[in-house]
Amino acid sequence: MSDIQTPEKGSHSKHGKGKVRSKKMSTRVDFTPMVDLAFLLISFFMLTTTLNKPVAMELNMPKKDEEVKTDVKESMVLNVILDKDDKIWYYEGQVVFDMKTTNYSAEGVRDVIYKKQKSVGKEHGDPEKMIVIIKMTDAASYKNMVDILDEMDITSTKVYAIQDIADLEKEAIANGGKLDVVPE
Amino acid sequence: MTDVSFLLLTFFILTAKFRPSQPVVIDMPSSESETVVPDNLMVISVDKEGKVYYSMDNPKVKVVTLQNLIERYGETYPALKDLSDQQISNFANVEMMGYEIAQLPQVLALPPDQLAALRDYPGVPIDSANNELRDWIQAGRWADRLDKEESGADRPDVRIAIKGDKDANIQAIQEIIKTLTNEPVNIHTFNLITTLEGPVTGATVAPVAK
Repeated sequence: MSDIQTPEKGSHSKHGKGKVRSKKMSTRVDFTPMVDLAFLLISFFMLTTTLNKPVAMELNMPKKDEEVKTDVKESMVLNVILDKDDKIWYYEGQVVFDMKTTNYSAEGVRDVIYKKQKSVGKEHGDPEKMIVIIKMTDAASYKNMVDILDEMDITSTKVYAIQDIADLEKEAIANGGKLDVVPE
Repeated sequence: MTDVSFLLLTFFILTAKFRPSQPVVIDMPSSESETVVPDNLMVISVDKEGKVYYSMDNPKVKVVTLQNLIERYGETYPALKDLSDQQISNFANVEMMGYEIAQLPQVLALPPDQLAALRDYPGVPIDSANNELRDWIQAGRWADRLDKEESGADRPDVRIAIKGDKDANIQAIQEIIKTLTNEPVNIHTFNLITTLEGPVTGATVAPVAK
């Protein structure tokens, strides 16, 4: 790429014998490596500035004083309980007696929510009437919470709430998802 | 071409906002959300062990926050009142506040370079008996509002965001949410800071039609 300096022909004979002049150095500088480096740095800074942006989720908690009394039918409710080791327990309705487990994969809890959406849509005319109640055991991690909120976003669930876990549910989890005595 | 490339290079170097050195490593969970983190943020961080840290974007507001807290806690911890103005302004360099208020005089008395190098944090207490986080939040909001009035700028109030480590126990997060939603803080809308879901894990299935 760089130019190769060749001695000018005829210069020797011009000045006669004996006088050897010091070769004149070229003043041209090869810019190619510098440009390479510049582009490398450009790509580095471009990538780091755009890819490193953290994003935010917005979480709205209900205000205590303005209790929203909506007409909730038991068949609209899906309860999701986040447990340790990325396990999810879920049951429909408001009475715990038989909980099933699932996980955070696309075929897991997302399918459960879609199915519930469909059945709510069929029964009540509007799938957006589904209510997901999220509960967490003490062993769940923050990632689990973000993941489940993410699923709410993905499945475009409009109504969901984070609630404290009930004793009955804790008992059911300890018992492998089933309660011995079906509460009245 | 060289000129243009160097122009671009200088531009990106100058605009690149380096992540401020994080004294505490927080590995955030990823989410599908694409909302950009709002400016003027009060961040409540939770590390892997569940320790809570308080940080604020605006260094000026941060110092005013501390002054407000000194007024409030001055009776309980008289050493706070002995802090010099220089030591108080050093507080602006504390990236993440993870101390009990009782420790502050001792911590802020350190020279700035040592202050920045400190790594052993006990975390801000959030238990119901001694909820210092609540006071930090309240003082921070007060300082932010004061700053807003002084500058006369028409900007929204400071927003609160929770930045948790993905392995953090949920109890600490719930405790923070409780602090935020209960009196006297009474904030019901806040942000959770996450990273954008990477292409590896983000294999989403198209939503089933309703």
